[in-house]
Amino acid sequence: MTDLPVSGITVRNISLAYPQGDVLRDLSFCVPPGETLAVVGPSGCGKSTLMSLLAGLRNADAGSISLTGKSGGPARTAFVMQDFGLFPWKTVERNLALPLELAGIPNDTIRHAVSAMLEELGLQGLGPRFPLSLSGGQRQRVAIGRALITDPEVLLLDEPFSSLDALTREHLQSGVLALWRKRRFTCVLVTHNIGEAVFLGGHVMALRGSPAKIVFWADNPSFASPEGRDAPAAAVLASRIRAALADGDSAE
Amino acid sequence: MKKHLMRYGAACLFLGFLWQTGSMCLGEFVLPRPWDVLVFLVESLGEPAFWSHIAASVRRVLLALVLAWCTAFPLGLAMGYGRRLDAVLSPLVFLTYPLPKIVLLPLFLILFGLGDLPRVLLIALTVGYQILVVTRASAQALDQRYIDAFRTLYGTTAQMVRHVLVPAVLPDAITALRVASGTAVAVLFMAESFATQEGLGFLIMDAWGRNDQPEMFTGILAMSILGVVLYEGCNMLERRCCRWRLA
Repeated sequence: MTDLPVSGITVRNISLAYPQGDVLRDLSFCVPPGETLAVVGPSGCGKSTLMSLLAGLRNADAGSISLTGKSGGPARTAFVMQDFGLFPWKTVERNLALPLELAGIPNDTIRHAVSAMLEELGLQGLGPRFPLSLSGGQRQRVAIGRALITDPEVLLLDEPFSSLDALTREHLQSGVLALWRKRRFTCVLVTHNIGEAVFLGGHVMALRGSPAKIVFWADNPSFASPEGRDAPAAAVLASRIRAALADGDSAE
Repeated sequence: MKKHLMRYGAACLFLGFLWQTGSMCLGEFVLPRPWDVLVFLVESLGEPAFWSHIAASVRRVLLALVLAWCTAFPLGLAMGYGRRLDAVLSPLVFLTYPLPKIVLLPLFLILFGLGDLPRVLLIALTVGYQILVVTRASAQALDQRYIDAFRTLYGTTAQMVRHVLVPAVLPDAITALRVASGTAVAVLFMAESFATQEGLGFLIMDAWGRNDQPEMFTGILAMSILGVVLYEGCNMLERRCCRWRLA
């Protein structure tokens, strides 16, 4: 990892409250450029809210978030939503092409980019189909393709595999890791699956409580290692995360 | 398509059977036999005068539907998406929506003369409300996830309207148009039965006045066919514009 892009994420003291109570309070962390962070925690602990703040879909009540690109300005950011966020009225090709179309890229370039992306994600032949006619795994790959087609510096993944079966999930997790190896984007992944967090997070952060606080942070020595999921360090890290989240339980 | 036509054929046979039974019960003077009316319709198709009635009705109803769609659909989108505009306009819409627009025909004839314009405006006004109300409701019910997904792609509001709002609302709006097409034919009949000498509505009322039952029923049959064609036109529009719903 010597030739890293100079983009990264810095979150400083962010807080957010809903009418029914505080969701996040005084949360700070940073993700170095070209690295990945997995945010793990139980359902309803504010992970997706944190993601929508990072994606700019809502503003924090306090604190600051900076997603910095190679140029030192705001990073090109892409977001894959929990429910894929595909538009059912657009074909796979049109969904993939949309970010480029919105940016005013010429049609020829778009056609080439879409065709290359379909090939990269193993979706050849599915271009003219509509998302509703695809399987969950295929839809997820289209969503990831739409996110990556603009060559983002920061990729945000909000529980992208939660609705998939175990085999498809593992297959797509490996696919995302392969894409990261190739493109080296800065990535934040939100998940409630500890195994997924350990497999895809170069750093792992566990959130717990209401308002959510960071109960665990660690660098992941097994990340992107040749042993993959079977690395002994992965099992150790997973049990440490599990213990931290359980401590949170007992603390509550 | 073949199945679709066969279903239409079966429905026609069933309605023809009911009609024939009714004719036998009520007598031919009240309800002529379907076969006689069909023969009269085929004979009428050879007469230019009959075609000019059809042409007048088709012209009026199509112009009215196009005018209603072009006005009500964008306005419904704007009201459904723009809360401020909706706050201003929705009281006006809901106060005037229940008003039976057909009662304005005499006023329209005074204001716009005796030609096509008052009839087209009256039909457009009536069906425009149906399209407007449905489009507004559909735009208001647009799933926030689609808007969020679009916002993460950094599009402008105009691009959001084009790529998200319009295609998401279109199926409901076309359903409203389909319902409106039936209403349009009903209002067309009323609008043509008064102060005009052209159109199927006039043909029916004129034949009724002369006690010419076969001609009157020929007019009714032609108007029904016009309704079916408009309905099928809406179905075709939906198949063309909302292909994803058939996927």
